[in-house]
Amino acid sequence: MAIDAATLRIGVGGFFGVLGADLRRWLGRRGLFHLILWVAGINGFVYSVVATANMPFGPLGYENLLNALMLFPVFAGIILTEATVVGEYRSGVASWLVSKPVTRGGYVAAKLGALWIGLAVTAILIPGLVANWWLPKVEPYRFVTPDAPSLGRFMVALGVTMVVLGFFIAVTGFFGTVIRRRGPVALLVMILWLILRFAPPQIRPSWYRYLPTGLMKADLDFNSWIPGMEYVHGNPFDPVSAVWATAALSLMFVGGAMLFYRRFDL
Amino acid sequence: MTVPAIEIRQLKKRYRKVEALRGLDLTVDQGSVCGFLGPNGAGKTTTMKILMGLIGPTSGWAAVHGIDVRGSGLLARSRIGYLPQDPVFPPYQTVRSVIATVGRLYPGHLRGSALRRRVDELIDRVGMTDKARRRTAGLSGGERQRLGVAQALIGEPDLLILDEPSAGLDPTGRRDMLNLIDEIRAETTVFYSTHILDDVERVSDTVVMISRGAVVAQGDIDEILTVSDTDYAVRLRGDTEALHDRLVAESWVDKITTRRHGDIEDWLVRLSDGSAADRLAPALVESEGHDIVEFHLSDRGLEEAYLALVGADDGD
Repeated sequence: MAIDAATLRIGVGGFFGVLGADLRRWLGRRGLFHLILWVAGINGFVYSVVATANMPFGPLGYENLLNALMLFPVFAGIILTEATVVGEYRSGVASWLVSKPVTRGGYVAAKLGALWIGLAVTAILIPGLVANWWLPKVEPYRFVTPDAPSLGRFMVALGVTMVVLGFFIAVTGFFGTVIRRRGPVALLVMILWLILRFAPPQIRPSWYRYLPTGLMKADLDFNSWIPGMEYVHGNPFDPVSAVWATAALSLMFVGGAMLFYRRFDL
Repeated sequence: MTVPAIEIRQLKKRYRKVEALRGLDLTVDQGSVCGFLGPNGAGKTTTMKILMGLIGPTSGWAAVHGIDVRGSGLLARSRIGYLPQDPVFPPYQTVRSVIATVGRLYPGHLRGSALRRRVDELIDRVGMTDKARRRTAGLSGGERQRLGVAQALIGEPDLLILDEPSAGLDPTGRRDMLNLIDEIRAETTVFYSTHILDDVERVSDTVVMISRGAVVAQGDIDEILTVSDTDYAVRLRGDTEALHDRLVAESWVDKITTRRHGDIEDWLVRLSDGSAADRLAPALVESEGHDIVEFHLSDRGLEEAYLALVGADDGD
């Protein structure tokens, strides 16, 4: 079906209208709350690990930072996405919004996009930068290499974490539109997180590295670095193909959610 | 010829075993205030939700200002302001931010101070100035209805669809809502559903009555209330059962709607044609066991018209 220019303009306007409304919320009290929570929480966690000499992985300040960013914000993303997609469907807020000049697909994409931007900035970017400022200053300096990583490499590692966050927000959004029940959606996605992160190397097929696993895999004994850390340490960025694959998969899940959201009565 | 504000043809909607709409046909002219009347479950909300693209019809066609709501739903919705039956807004948003958010969703919307002024104007218009900064989670049902009307008006729509706008309002709120509908009739077409017949008589130009998913009457209020030469009001006292059974068996009687108050029974008798009145009067007189208190052509109000057309049906 051909879409005329007027319809496209209205659709794009509706998408940015919903996105803007949600982003304004992140610029307000909600954003401030998250910012304080995440800066204090992530940095407090990393400091407690770094400053505890007898912990087996205590010295790896940056490793712990990236692990924390790969865990807590992602789980928060799953919960918040579920609360938004399923919660607004069940409460009637979604029905109210899509009765305006907003496409259902635009509504879902805007909601997921705003969540990703909001969490990526308040729970990953800013807490990560704050940690990057104080970590090299901690005495005794416990980072595994003598020098702090370059800001560029560290930012890329944060970017990888944001891509992983985006993937789980997209997956939760997709299952949220399909299942539309809060408990099962979160459970399903968290199980997926566990599989992608901790599936033992012996059972991983060769193509597994192209999945988000390539960005987030970790061994249960924590004897190897997570992929982002490889790059932070100056190694070639092996999982670069996984970045593209994860981004593409994320877009596919968002697209699936957008398509599926058109199929049911509100 | 002016395109109707709403045009619906043979609209059907089936929910599994329930047929909510059974070939609905209706037309609402531009610039009118149209009351959409029907018992619970008659299909009013379903019809409105189909117009808003919230549910899809099983078959049939609906258009707003000539725009097909299925094929070009987005375009149609850009010309509609909608108040749902139980309006729900994001609980974290304030009254002002809800209206501003909706305002930004409409094409060519106001921006900056112009948008703020328009939001304040609407808040004032629905009497919520002192609650402008309150979060929607703390609003009463009546306040949510008022906010619902304000957000429906922010896009300056050509058509306002209000699903039970006065439901849950106290008498003052209901009066204010009717005054508001009366005020905005100069700006837009209003299509609203209600159970309250007095409201329809007070503010509507036209009315559509619906029962069991199909329209049973539509037109100007005056037309609906016009005395028909086939409708007779009969008031009886005593045992009326035998008479009732005898009359409903007659081929020249279409329908008898009855209402009892104590020992008095009011009938609205619809005849197959006006000439059958010559048979009705003798039949009433000849029958025994009751007194005829009144017998005349029905000079019905909307309530009588509604009961005659919809009957005591409470929907499905």
